[in-house]
Amino acid sequence: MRSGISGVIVLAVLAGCGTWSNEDIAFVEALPTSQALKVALPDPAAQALCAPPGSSEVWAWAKPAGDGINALVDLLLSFVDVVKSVTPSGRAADARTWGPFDDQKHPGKEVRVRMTRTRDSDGVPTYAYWFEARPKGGEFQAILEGSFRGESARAGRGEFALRFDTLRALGMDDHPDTDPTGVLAVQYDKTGDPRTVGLDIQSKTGSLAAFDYGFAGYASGNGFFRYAFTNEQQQQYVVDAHFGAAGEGRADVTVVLSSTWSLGFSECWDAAGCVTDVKDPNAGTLLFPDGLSKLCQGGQCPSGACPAF
Amino acid sequence: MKIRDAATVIALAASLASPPALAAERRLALVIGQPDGGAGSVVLRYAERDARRIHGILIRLGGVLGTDARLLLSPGETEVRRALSDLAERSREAGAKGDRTVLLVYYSGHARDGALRLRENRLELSELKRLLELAPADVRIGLIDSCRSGAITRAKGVRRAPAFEVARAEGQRGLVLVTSSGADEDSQESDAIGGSFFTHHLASALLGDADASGDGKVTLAEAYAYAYARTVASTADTAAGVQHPAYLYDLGGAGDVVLTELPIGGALVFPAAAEGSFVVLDGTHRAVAEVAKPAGAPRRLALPAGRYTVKKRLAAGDGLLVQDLELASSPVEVDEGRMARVPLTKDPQKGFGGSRWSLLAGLGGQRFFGPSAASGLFPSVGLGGLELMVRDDLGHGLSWGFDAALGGGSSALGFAGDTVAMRIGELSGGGSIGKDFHAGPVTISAGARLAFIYLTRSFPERPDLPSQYFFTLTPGLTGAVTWAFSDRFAAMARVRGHYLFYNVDRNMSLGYAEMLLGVVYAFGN
Repeated sequence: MRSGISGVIVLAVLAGCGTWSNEDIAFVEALPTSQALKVALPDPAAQALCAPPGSSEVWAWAKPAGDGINALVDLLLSFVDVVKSVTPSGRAADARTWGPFDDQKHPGKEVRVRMTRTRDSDGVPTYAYWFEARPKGGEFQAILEGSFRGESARAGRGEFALRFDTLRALGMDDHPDTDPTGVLAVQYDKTGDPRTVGLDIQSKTGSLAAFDYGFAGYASGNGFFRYAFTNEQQQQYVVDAHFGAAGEGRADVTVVLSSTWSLGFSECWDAAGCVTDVKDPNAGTLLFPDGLSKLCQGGQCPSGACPAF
Repeated sequence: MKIRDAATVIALAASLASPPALAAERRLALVIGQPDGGAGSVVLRYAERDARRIHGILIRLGGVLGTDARLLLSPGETEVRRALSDLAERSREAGAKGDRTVLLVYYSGHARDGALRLRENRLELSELKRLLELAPADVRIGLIDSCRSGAITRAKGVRRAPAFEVARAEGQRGLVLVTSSGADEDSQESDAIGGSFFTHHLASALLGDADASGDGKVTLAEAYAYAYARTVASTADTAAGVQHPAYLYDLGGAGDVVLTELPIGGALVFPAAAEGSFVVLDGTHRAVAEVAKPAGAPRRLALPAGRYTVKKRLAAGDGLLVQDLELASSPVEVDEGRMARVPLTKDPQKGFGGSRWSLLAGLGGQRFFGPSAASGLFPSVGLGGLELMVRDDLGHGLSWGFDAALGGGSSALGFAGDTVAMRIGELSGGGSIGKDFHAGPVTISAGARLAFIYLTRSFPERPDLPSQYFFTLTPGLTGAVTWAFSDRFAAMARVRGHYLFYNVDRNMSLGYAEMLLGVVYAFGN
């Protein structure tokens, strides 16, 4: 009799429990995804051997730049995936909480994720989220915070900031020698065509002092890729690259030598990544006999087809 | 073949092989059951069954050869006249050969305004009486079980009395009319006994309970006295009022007529010490006889071979004693010491035949309804399940059972034009209790159910999303329609309606319905 009553009590306690929730999915769908953020560029490795003047050096720069961006995105997604792989530990009508959990990779640290949702007058939701960490017993500090407006990550507009300085301060940065030191700020917009991603980094490590990155991907396969970086000589390079679905493209490169002096050149390449046309106004000058591009000899630059975008 | 028909055939064969030894007497019987009294009358439920019972008893115990017994079910006036004329002719031929003849006419049906009602036809009671008076038989007996049948006895010598005044002599000639009610009384049927009160008690009398003398013979006087007393007692508390059988006894030469002789062999024997009111039910749990047994002398009921249930009602609140018996060619004694005590709710006469176990295997689906379902929170799934049902265990018509089902399906969640495909699995089970309502081979069931439901869903195209589950207890109602198409198999449509408590996101509780179509297999007898 007693065991029967116990069984009934157990069943009653279990009644109405579980993780079955559409709202949970709606919340995690607002978090950034790899599909939303990662840079998709034609693979330079596929470039064929080119006849002189050779392959596009500017376009080849895009590969390490894209890899760097994608590495940062992977870092971000490692946080997001933690949230997506577990069910919320706290639910309110317009809020979800995960954790605090022990950070398995960083003993002595705890992480927590909070999300809230508000709706505008049109009923479109805006999700705000905070990924926070702390030494056990300490105060939580935001290492990633952002917001997203829209019903799902595949159709909305968002921004977030990944705070490397806070990660370092908490002892949770696994690559302190190479990771940026400042704030990685990302904006992305998946509401129209092109879908865009913008990224800014303030860094005091590695070869880059600062990095701006912009990417626009069209449904047709065409894209626009803009990035700016400042090297250790405090020379800022700005590259505006357009590319087609097959890989052909044109880049306009500006080297900012000082606040009043900038030089530039442009080059075009075909689908195989081989240079077809160079316009370098500095070619043949005393200072730059082969031009800034180093593709002009004796003041003569390659001249040929250049795709229009 | 139905058990009752089989018993009749067995009895017929037995009678042909060794007819009771009522010497130098030719007995002929016309037995009529007409439930339809035409416009303005209610169709009787048991008129034909009553006729079959009397027909079987007369052949088996009453010395009537099967070839001399005519059973007319739902006949018209013409058929009745023709059959009566035919039997009268046979009687005349037998009389011409020097045999003594007895012609017995039994009628169960409607009567009104001084006439038997045979659908839209009438046969005046006075005409029936005249036909019997003119019939060329030494003894003519009319047994009329119908409303206001006492009107046929409106003549000199009619008595509404508990017993005949019979002179002890041999060589009777004349007419006896026995009616089930007075000229201004209704004759009543009873669902509990499955027949009319009068015929039920008359049959019990003929089977042996009226053999007060213990000589193994039931005379017309004994049968009438028994049927009179029992009918009056049984109808004393009915809404239609007490029913008094009546008779007209006009036997020249006086004496009594033996209606049945009880064979030495197959019989239920109530020992001398037994005392009380017993009811004997056949294999279909319909009453075939009652025994009002005083202590002091044994009592025998001459029943055909078969399976019987004997019940004895105890004092108020004490329930019943019940015993199942198999009767063959030897006497079987009813032993109160071996009778099982059961509550009144398990009265076999009210259809309780012991618990019956059956298993349903079915396929169907589950559909949620309400705003939460419309949002895609709980999509429809297919189900396959088993249900173990136990009927008549808690009481007659009550059933309980346990069930379990597995289900699954695919669907998609919508988010502002975006979709997330999902795969759903379900395990559910429950216990139910209900009431069965029988209508021939169809049983309609209704009851309550408490179930658990365990749901899981995964998102096969989104491995980044964790699987989800939900468990809850859910109360509901259940119903079923079962159609028995053989002794062991039946088709069932099972419907359940439940209320599901959901509160993970917020309180979005909703209802759902399940429907299963399947086959039921019945275990045991």
